[in-house]
Amino acid sequence: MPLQLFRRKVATGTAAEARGSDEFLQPGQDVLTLEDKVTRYFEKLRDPVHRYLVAVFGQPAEAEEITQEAFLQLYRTLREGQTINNMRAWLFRVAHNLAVNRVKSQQFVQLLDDESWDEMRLSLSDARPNPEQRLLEQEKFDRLRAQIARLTLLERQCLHLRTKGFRYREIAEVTGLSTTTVAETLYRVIGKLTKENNG
Amino acid sequence: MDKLFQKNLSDEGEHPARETLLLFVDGEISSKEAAQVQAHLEACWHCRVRTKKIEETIADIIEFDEKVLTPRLLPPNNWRGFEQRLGRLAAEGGPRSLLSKWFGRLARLFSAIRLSSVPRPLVRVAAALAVAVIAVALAVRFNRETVVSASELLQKSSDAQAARVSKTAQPVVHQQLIVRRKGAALTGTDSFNWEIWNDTTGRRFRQSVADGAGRRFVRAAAADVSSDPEAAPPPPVLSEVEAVLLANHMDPRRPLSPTAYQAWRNSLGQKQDEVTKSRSADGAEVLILRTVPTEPVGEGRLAEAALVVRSEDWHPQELRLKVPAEGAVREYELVETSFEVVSLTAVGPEIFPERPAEIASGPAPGAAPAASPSPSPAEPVSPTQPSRPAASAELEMEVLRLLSDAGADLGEQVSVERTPGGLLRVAGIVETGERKAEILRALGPVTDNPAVLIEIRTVAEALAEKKGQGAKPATEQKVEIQSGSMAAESDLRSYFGGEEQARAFAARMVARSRRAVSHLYTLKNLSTRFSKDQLQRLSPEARGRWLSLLRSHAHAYRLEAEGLRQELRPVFFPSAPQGGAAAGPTPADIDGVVRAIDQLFAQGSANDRVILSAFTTSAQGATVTAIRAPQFWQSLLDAEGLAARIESAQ
Repeated sequence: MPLQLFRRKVATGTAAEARGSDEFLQPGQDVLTLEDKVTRYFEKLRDPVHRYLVAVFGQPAEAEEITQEAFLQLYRTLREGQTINNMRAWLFRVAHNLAVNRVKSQQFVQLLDDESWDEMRLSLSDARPNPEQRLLEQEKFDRLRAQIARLTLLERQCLHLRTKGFRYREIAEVTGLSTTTVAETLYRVIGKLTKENNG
Repeated sequence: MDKLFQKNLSDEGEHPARETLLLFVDGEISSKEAAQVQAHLEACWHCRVRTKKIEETIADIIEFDEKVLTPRLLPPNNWRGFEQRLGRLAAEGGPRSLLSKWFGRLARLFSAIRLSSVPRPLVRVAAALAVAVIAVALAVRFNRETVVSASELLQKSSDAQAARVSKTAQPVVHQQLIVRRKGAALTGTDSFNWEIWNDTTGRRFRQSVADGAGRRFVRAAAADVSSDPEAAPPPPVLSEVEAVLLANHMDPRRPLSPTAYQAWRNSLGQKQDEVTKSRSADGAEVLILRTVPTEPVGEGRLAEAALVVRSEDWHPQELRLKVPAEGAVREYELVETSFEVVSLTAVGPEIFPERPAEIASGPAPGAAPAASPSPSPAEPVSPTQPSRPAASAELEMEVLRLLSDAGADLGEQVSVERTPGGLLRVAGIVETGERKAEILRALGPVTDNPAVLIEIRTVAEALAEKKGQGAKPATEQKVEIQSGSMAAESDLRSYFGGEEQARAFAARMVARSRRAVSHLYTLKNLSTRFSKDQLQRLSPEARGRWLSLLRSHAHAYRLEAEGLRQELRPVFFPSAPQGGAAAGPTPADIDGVVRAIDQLFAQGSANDRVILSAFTTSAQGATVTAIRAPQFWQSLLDAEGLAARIESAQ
């Protein structure tokens, strides 16, 4: 077909393998240019990638830069004709590795500064008419914020990837850990974040 | 992992390990193992409670993630720069040609069609047609000249004007124009020659006209007979033009001023600009900026304006105006035929009878300067001594203060000028009767002063005077205008998520910047209004008022500039610190204050240009703007610091 000449079709795996690969593209978008495709992926996946990086490594501005870099790396990879089977896991892995290389220190990461935290609590107050509910919710979130802040870097990685819907083997793929380590880590995380654990 | 499960599950009589319960909840064990765990849970209350606790913890985590983290962990720079980075990356790997982009678009177009179901000859015809379309499109594109944006054009033209004036000591701008009211015969009162002298140092103005009735000095329409007793009344068309310019933020004394054109543009809400290249009657290449308000305009307001600028040196050559009036559209053309900047010493006494330095202290002992571009000898104008006493600098200061109190010293709403006879003329056209009364009340203390002439009229009054003076309706021409976009559009859209908010923000920023600049202009005017000698001769009280006015405008500027900066920060400089600028040392003397004002004027005007270039629309869809640059942020801080210094002057 002559129009094939105009295409710059991205090599992808089979539909079953390519979870996250073309799932974000609308029908008829298979003839998008490579730039357009990467831009679409960027628009769909940049926020979860960024949130993961901030939640795990802190430093929102650097996380934003790293997220962009991961998508530029995606462009380079696809331009070279390489196949990406699981786009979502691939992007998280690249972003994760970039972050690990740049953010060397495993510093304490406070989720949201105190000012943002106070704003959040106020917004909860508005949303809950019942004072008791408000108090309980505030206590719960205060507790979780403190508990998550005490997690190790590895634990934060596994937790936040799991909340993004990654299966254990995918978390292992992103982080470079074994599946067993992921399972053990997640088990530890659940233990640390239970209501009873205030230590 | 398998080993882990087997060990726990094979231990009959024992409970599954808690790790296994998490794996079960997460669906990470085999179906066989899951069935075993499920069977155990049905039998064991302890393990059911343990499983429930795990699920509750997971629910808490998810709730925390959704309610707290997801809405708040936002990218501070709002993904700015990605498209550019991707574009650069794509270019590194070989830029896509224009042709390939067209092919890409064509491919998308055809992707919706199932070509296999289309007869082959039809496909060939369609392909040939598409190629022809591409060829024509490319030809059109390459033949199309690249032109500047509206703001750039006005800025360059304004800068060029300023540069020309600054080359001459005591500059007097002398212009000759042909004024036409279009749509009518170019005879009689519908067309005349207009000659203007602007003494930029002494802030004096003189004008003459030449038409079927001969050549003569004429008063400005806003002035009364006593302001310039030797001058004749202006012809009706000039009065109309003057009223139109005043009602639209333009300046009848500088009719082709690009700055005044910009002031009018900025006063509009929605508008569309178009810049095109053309040739003037003498064959020179010109740029034509045409601006059309896209919202309904009221009586007396411009429905369209165009400024013609010479490409070679950005000199404005022509102004075209369209004004709705009485159900029709009046069109005016002001075409410059000569422009020169001469030194005041080369201008004859019949134009400006007195030297400006002499005005404050009374009439000069008649030192006659050199020959001048005088009106026709057929219509000699003999200078006469003013019939009223000349206004002192103290009186001038008092008038300025009173106008400032009424908020009438910003922009071009009301002007305070010296007449050739040394009187002080306060003239202007204001929007409403209430505003007129307000300004007249403010000027109450000087109303009866014989050295002060007050001519404040409403727009309706100015227009009423023109009625019945033979204005002939003209036909409105159809105009096609390109839709515009602003340079910072993509930043704003991505930040605000929608066009409406982005446009509202841009309009707010431009309005704020213009308000700030109006204080700058007033500051600059105040600082150059009096010479150093005059200031030293001013009474301490008058000098104190002068300084007080400067301080109040510097303060007002700083507040606007600070507000502007704070609004820009989250969009363009999210990581910049919240704090403001540090004020420098207090100016030691009047010279220091004037120098600080000069610096502030330069810096503030430059900042305003950046704001305008970023937030005003241009037909060319410019994307380059300095608004994201750290230097601009620093420049905003510097301007605030300078304003704070002026505020502290004693």
